[in-house]
Amino acid sequence: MRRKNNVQAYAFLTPFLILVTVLYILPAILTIVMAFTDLDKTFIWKMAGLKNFQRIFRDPNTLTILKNTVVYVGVCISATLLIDLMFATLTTHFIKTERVSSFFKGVLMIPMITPAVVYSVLWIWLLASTGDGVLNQIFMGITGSSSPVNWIAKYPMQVVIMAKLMTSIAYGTTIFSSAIKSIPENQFKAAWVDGAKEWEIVKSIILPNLRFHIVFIALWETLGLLTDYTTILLITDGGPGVASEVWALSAYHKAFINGKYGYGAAISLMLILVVLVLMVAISIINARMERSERNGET
Amino acid sequence: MKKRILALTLSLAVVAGLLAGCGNKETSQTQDPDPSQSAAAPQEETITLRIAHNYDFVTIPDAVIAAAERLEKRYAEEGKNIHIEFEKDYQRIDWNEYSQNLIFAYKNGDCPDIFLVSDVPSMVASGMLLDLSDLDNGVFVDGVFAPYTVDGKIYAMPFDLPVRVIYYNKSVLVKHGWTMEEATALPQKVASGEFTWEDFVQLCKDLKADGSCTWGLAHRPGSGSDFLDVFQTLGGRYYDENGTLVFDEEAMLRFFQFTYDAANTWEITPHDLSQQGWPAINTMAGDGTAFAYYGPIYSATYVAGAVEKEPEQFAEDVAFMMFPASEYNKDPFVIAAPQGMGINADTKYPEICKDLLKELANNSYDILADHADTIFTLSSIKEANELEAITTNPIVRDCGYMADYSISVPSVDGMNAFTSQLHTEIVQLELGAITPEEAVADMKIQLELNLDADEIIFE
Repeated sequence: MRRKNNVQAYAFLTPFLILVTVLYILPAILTIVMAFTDLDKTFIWKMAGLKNFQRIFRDPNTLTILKNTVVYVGVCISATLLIDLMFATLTTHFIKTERVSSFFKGVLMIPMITPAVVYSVLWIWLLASTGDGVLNQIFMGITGSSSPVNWIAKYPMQVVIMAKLMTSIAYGTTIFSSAIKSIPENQFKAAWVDGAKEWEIVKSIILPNLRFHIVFIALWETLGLLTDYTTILLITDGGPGVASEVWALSAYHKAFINGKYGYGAAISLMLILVVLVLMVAISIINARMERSERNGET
Repeated sequence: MKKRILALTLSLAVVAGLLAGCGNKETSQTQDPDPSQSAAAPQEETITLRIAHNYDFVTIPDAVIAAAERLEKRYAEEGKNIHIEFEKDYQRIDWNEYSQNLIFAYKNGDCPDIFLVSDVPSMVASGMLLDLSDLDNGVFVDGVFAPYTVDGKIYAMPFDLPVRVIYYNKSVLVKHGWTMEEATALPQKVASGEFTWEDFVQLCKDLKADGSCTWGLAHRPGSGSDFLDVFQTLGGRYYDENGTLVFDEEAMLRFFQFTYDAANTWEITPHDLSQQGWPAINTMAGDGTAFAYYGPIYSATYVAGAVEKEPEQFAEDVAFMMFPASEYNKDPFVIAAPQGMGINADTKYPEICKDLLKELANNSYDILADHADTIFTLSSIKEANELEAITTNPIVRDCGYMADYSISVPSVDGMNAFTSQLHTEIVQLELGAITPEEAVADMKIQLELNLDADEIIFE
């Protein structure tokens, strides 16, 4: 009976495995092969050995781009998790009226559901370097200065982090809110009976119950931040110079602006390896956490 | 069980649908004649050509379509009953993306038959362009084929002759104390060498200093070839006689020093110009906020549009001059940057496609004159430049003499990477984020990394 079920399961899975193979695995293999070629705009494949990887290590901008990527991902992840937890706790634990909390969650969704191009144009308009920019009007109104600030050129990394952060909040908040709702009510009641303060409830009940969700969101957002460069491309295009260039955007520029697909693929391949290492590391941490939890329970 | 079968069927249907969508689109270019009419003579052959274009100047592909009607009549006179239909593929995407899409489409057997060419070296290297060396060169303005010639073969037909010039505002000069006659005569002084680049830069500084304008000199916000004209004015060369890219380090330092000084020392160029975007810059160039602006003459369509002026009104305030002679470059010049159409090397109808281009070049050049009139440029066909459409155009009529000073840049491989990196350095220099020496060093290493050794010569 079990064997029959397995056959059925494989039969159902087969079409999707074919799709995954065609749409994900084959392109990944092609990217790996491409990384060792001189492929350019002419689409003529010529093997180039390790030339593209040597280029990456010879490029003096590589270190800056790496640093930018670490700062971008690190700051975004830390801030996203903190803000997600704060909003989820506020809108689920403290605000008990469903209508009010739904309203706040809805507001948080706006940046996420706004198309990236529209959203980025809004940021550019908000931070325009001329006196017409919204932020400059406020700044000049408050300080009395007659010189507008070129916000995007002056603070490119801060701007792209802020812009990305706003789009990341809704997803984590929704996940954390659902998780908080699933905590048995008697845990809170017991804490209140024992006279626990709200901060103690957050620290001792909410956060421990959310630890797997936090790991999941951290992993999910890290993968997204490492590979998604749309917001940066549209707001600063990695500039000025390479001041806000991150690894994935660098691959895009090399491949699609300079027409060096082999070089771009080599940069992408290194990113894929980093992501794989990260996923394995997080899986190990996850497994250890589960094991320690089981040991603790027994 | 029924549910399982249904689910399995749906899964397979989804996969089949998606895979079918991934397949190459079969392009049926010949429409079979109606069998019921097969007895009638002569039998009409209807062919469908796919024509591709990018951005605003659709008068280019539309000229081909208009020429088709005349060609059909010519064919009829020869006893051929051929009807040409077109499937248009007009886009508005980044030029890099456009050329890459076309090359990729060619590699997949899905390339349009006739298309606006871009990044000619890559297109030629990919083998997608039909050899058009048998076009009658004699009817074209001298040198206009240079950008489309690779290894002595011609791969596209130029449809116009836009030159890159310096726009300047006559009203600003009048405010500065010049008479309108003096302001209008400036292009002649440039042509004679009496007014040099050094005089021009000094004038920009003076105009800014006495408040005649807010800025002396503006430029495009993004990457492009326009900057190379200033580079050339300052004695730089970026290609050799074989059409190979050249990195002229000494002249590059001079250009970067000028760029830095213009924005930070003399403050004749806004240091945040690249962040301001096209609408702001077009307005600046059109309303005299900036005294001068350099770019293709056809950008006048956008500049005039930004300040909501008709061409006649616009020409009252704004005039055009060549890049003046300088301490480092003894002759004034303009760069000719024609736009051209090429033919798919694998088209089913190479002869008909060639006949269309020949029809435009040899007989229907009035259509090309209309196109040139629409986008404010000279025509690539000598005789077309004599037609009323061009001789009465308020923007172009006074620029005809520039053809004698025009330089045609050959097709240069690696130019996109060069101009892209150049712009990256310009942005940082104008912001004062790096020094000219740092910009030269960075540009050099980036070109070494991004271009192959045979693509660039370092001098």
